[in-house]
Amino acid sequence: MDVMVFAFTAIAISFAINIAIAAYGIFTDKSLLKKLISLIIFSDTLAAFAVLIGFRLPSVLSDYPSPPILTNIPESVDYLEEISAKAVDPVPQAFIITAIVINFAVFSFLLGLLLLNYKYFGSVNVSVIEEEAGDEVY
Amino acid sequence: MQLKLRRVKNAVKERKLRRTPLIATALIVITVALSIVIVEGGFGVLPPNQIRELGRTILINTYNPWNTTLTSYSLNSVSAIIWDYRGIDTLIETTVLFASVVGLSIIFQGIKPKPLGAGKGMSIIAKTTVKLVILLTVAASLSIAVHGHITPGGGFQGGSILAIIASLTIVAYSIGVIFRSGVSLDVLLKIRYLALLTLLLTAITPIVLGLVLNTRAYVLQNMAKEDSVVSMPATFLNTPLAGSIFFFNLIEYIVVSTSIVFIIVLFTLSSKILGSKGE
Amino acid sequence: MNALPASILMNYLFAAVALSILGLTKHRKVLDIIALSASVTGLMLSLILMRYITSNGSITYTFGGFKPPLGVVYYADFVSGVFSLISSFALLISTMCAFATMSFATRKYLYILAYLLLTGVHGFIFSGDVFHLYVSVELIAISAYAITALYSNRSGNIRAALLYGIAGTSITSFLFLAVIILYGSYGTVNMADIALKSIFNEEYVPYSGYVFGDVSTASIVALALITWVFLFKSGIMPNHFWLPNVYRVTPIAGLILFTSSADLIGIYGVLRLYHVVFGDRCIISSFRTTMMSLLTAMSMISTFFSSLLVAKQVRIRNIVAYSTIAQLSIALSGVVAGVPEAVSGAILHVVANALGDALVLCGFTLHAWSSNKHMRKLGMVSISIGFVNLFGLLPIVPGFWSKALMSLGFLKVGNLLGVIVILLSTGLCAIGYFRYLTRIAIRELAKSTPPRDYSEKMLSIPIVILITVTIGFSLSIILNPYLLPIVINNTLDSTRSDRFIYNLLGIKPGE
Repeated sequence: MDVMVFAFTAIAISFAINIAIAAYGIFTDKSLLKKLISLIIFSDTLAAFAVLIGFRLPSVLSDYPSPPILTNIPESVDYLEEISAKAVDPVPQAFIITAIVINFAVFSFLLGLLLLNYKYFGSVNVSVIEEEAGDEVY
Repeated sequence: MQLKLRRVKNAVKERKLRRTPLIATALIVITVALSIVIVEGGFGVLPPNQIRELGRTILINTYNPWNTTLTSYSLNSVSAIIWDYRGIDTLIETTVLFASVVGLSIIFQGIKPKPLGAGKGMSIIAKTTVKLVILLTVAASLSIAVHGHITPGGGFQGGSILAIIASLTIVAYSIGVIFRSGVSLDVLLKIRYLALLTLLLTAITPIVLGLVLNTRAYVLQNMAKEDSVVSMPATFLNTPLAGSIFFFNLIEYIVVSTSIVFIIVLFTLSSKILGSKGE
Repeated sequence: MNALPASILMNYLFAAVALSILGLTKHRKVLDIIALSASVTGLMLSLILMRYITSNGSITYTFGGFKPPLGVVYYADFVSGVFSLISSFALLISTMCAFATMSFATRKYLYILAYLLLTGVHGFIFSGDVFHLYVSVELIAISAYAITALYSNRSGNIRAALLYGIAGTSITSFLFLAVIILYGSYGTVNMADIALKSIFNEEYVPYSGYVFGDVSTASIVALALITWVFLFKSGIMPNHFWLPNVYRVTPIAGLILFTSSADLIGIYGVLRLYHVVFGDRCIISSFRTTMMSLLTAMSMISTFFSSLLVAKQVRIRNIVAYSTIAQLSIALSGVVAGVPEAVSGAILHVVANALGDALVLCGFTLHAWSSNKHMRKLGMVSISIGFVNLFGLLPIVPGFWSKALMSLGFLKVGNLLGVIVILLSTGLCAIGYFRYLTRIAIRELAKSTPPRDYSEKMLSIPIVILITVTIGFSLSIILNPYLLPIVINNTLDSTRSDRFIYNLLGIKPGE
């Protein structure tokens, strides 16, 4: 197996493990704040994973890939072909930026809820909150 | 209280013992499944020498005067995807941000900005530096947003950079400075909602044009298509404008920066109120 | 006519933004009028869409004019038409309910969030694209959290919203993971493209080319992940933990929306996923069959246990919560049964459940808050019709026909256990329903003090509409013997993946 292939596969698998660790934090940690932090790690890992999916190594033209942006106004179709032969995939990047905005929106809202929750219950621990709310919520 | 807490903790321990192995097993299954996908070549051989055909099609057509029905005249292909090829995704995404702002204004309904005293803030050196940085930030963020279709960047990136000003001002001066400069929560919301309305109107401009010209047109259409001649301006004074992408980036810049400033101000206010109420 | 799906979406989006701008000003009446009229417009558009679909077939709309799989495409067929109709109808009822029962300061926010929720729901049900699915799910989710947290001065609401929010966000992140996996291996995010390549993975599609990697394992992982997300969204039993908490605290107007739009997307998603995207000829058909039998077993267990819990409950919100889980589980078992009778029965059942829940919730509010005797009686009638509908053993309610259709479908595939579970669940739920009914009939509910803005006359209007629609719907089924066959045929068309692929991509699979 090629060293490069091995390295990239290892990175991809490490992302998978990172996803699992973050998910473990979300599902088992009792502190809501830590759950939220795990959630942020989780979504960032997904974004990094998507970058890896869209990555490529051009074999012919150059050793390194270029960003998916044309640097000057194309004068012939050949220039476009050349760019598309060495640029990375733009589609996952567009997905990521959409997902980042969404996650920013959702996390700021959840953080607001968490703050208010702390004001009402005086704790961010799920069990304490459940205990406190036990008779209050019918 | 102490006793109650201890009881809770014991209950937690018992429940944790039962649930944790199950969750761990499930997650290990997910990891192994994902690893199998990766190793078996589910995404091809990593790292690939080729990109996916969809990405290649977009890269070739993002600024392609020789294929006018598929191009968007944007040098930055990511911006082209965000606002042209998959514009409706971004529209909904902006709506998610809108929903978040509405939700935050619901849950912090009771919080009203009190007449705060002039905070001392940091030293004069820090304040002067912040002034300089703010000037630079405005220029940089505006160029990132406005040039989003030519260079890396876009409305969201520019807007989130602009919003740094608010947190810098709050840290170096005080939150009172923001209110004294005329930026209240209501003003922010008004600008934000009006900008969002403009965004939606821009999205349906092609439809209106199509009705006027009596031809077919699509929501979020940018350039002319095979079955529709409606087109936004591709260039402006010989510089590429990328049609609606430019306008979308500009409006998104306003939408995002006002939302983030709103969120920052709201959290600053709420932490003050929480701090004063807590033990 | 092609632009109908997009115009429904845009109608709701514009209404939400217009309402938010008006909410900052002092035009109270204008705001209420716009909220009501936009929901009426949405319902009208949904009706036109449904009429068009039943007579002319499905609609494909490309955003920005880019052909799929290059751009995002909206696809409306019979099933999405039904879901669009029921959610638009629920929005109208919910707006009226909010107008009648909530103070202005609260309902102006509810209007905005309800419209955003409906935007997300329509984005979801019309979407022909998995990434757009993810974006819409996030919009639905965040508006649902915000509706749950609407009474922000009550700690229970904030607690439920936070737990729902954290669980929901982590699960929808898995949907994003599945989208990345699908894009990584298929090289496309268009559902029709994926459906085509999952059958013939050597196929070339314009713009997206050939598949990129080995699709079989990737499809298995993605299918499993997306299924899990949808089960969570519909609150099927092991993933139901958020649902009762949310149902205990959400305002009634929000609950009506939840039972008829936000909670149905799981059922709709499973239907799309298992019948259209990964159809019975796909490359992972053995795994698909395993998953479907697993889902059948899971939904039956879920039906049984949630029905048991319904029998135990005494409070109306708990009854509605667990009964929703039970009915959605029944619908899920119908969706995965694989015969058009069962699938159309499941769709009818979802509609019947939404109507029944709305009747019960509105009737309960009217009954508990009104001082007028006639109004209290109307509330009682509404609760009774709602419960009879959910119970579903009398042919005058739609609940009967949905259960009958599903049983017919189960018998057709020889799944006798399914019929038994439906009957068992009916019996168990009936204990809960009728105990509650007899309780309030004998010893009337203690009248609670309504809020200041409460107007019982306004609240009686949606109840009358609901009763008319429920009874009228079942009467039309009884009087028009062709209605059910039409529904079954149209559902069959919607669940055929070759038709889906042809309508979206213009490619006939296998040619």
